[in-house]
Amino acid sequence: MLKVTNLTKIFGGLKAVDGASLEVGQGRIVALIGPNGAGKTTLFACIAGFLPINQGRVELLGQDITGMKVHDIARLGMVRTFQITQPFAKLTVLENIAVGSHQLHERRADALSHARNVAERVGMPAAMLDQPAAELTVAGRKRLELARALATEPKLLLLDEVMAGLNPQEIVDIIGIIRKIRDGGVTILLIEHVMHAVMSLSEHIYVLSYGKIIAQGAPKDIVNNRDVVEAYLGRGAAEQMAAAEGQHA
Amino acid sequence: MSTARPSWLGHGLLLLIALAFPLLFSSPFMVNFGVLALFYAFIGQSWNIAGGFAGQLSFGHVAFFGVGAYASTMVQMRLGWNPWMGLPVSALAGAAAGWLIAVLSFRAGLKGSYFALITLAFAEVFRIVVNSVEVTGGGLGMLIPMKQTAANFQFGDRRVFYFIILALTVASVLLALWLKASRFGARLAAIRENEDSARALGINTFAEKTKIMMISGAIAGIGGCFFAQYFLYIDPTIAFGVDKSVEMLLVSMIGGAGTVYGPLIGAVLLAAISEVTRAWFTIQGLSLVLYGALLVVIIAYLPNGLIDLFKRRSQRPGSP
Repeated sequence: MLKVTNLTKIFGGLKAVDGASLEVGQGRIVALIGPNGAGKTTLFACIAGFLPINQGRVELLGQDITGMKVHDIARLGMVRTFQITQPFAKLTVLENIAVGSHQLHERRADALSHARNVAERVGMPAAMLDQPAAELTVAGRKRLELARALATEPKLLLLDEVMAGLNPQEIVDIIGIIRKIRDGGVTILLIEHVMHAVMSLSEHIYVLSYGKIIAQGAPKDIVNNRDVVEAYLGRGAAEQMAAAEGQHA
Repeated sequence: MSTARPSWLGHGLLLLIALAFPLLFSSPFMVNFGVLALFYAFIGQSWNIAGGFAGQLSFGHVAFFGVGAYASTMVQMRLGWNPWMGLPVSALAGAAAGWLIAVLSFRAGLKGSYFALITLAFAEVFRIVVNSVEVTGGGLGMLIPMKQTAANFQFGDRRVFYFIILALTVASVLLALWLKASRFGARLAAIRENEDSARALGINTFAEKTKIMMISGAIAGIGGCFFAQYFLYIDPTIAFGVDKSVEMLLVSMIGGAGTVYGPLIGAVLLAAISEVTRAWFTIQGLSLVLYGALLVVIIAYLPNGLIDLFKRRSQRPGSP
């Protein structure tokens, strides 16, 4: 579905993304994790065409999309959400979603009814639909980001921290929704800091640290990966933890 | 949409009043007032579909107006075309100017106040160019010879002009109504609210913005043609003066930018203030002073424009 090869993005003297490669198979949920500032959102922006890249190659469904315009990439079926939600503030929630729906539905009435349908799929109560997007809570805005992207009927969704700022119950809800979206045939690549969500949702995890992919694998392998633990907790942390465990044993 | 719109009955009544107006008030003063009000509504709508609907705030919309006025007058005076041909010519010229400014400034990624400033600069450049070349009549401008026949787009009865500008204004309102209910309009609203999100959802923001600038330019261009035929005289200051840009913008903002009827309300008010101050006082530019004061009050108390007074509270002009 998506194949990123050796992608490098340089800001001035800083290599924000340094030769990152990853692959997302059809129908899977893949997570991209890493400490703050690792370059996850930058990598997302590069993949989706928001930032020009210095090196590397991005392929979507076998087609080279490197350097293509954002809207063309979106029309090919890869749509991103924003970590900092970017609603169309003065439009109602339904109108927000309908902007996405219009991608496939020319007529206004069709787009609005499709948008209603999508809202239901992401579990938005009908009462919310006529509210201006500016009045939504954090959880509501996150869900709107998801709904709007989903309304374009994408093949691949790039979700950037859709769980940040949500309470535990809301996280449980959104995990269920994401799983349902995948079961509906949409491949998902997500950035997430909420670890238990990452562990329960994803089938494959890539770990980014200082712009480099330092590890990848199944969730259970990642939690025991020495490099990953050190990336999060600092050098030597893995040994100290192992030592501490040894003493307890 | 969930929000109520003026009904067909409301539309019909409004149109009936507009049609009956010159028959009930046939004095030259009142007919002229009606023509001016509709003219402001028409060019205000031109600004509104770009600035209000698509969020592309232009301070130099007079550029399109002036290009239309000059294009139509020049094909008539220099090439000897029938004045009626000025209408399509001015529309094309306005659209071409819209395309030029849009492509140059959107390619450069200009948004918000930068876009506003570049449009202002373009209008000034156009003014200076027509002021300095021979073929436009230079600073003296062009006087269209008086020859009052319908074939010549001149009418002894000024009420004919009233009905022409009324038809044009109705067409511009229909266009605005269509925009509100179409995919194109929804995309423009998305661009106005958040361009990055619009792109992320697959909207070609550059193409959509260029399209609306061309449509808006065409309307303002036709406005320029009408103006030239109504007053039979244009010069660089009349055709490209900053004051007309300000008027287009104010008509829309005071009435309610981004709404279908906002420019109509703003236009009636602008025409009323301008005619009344001209009749009662001799101070030059007093109408603009009053209008500016009104704008301050409206921004403070009715940020969505006067149209809020006519709407229920639940209705928001921002929606497509």
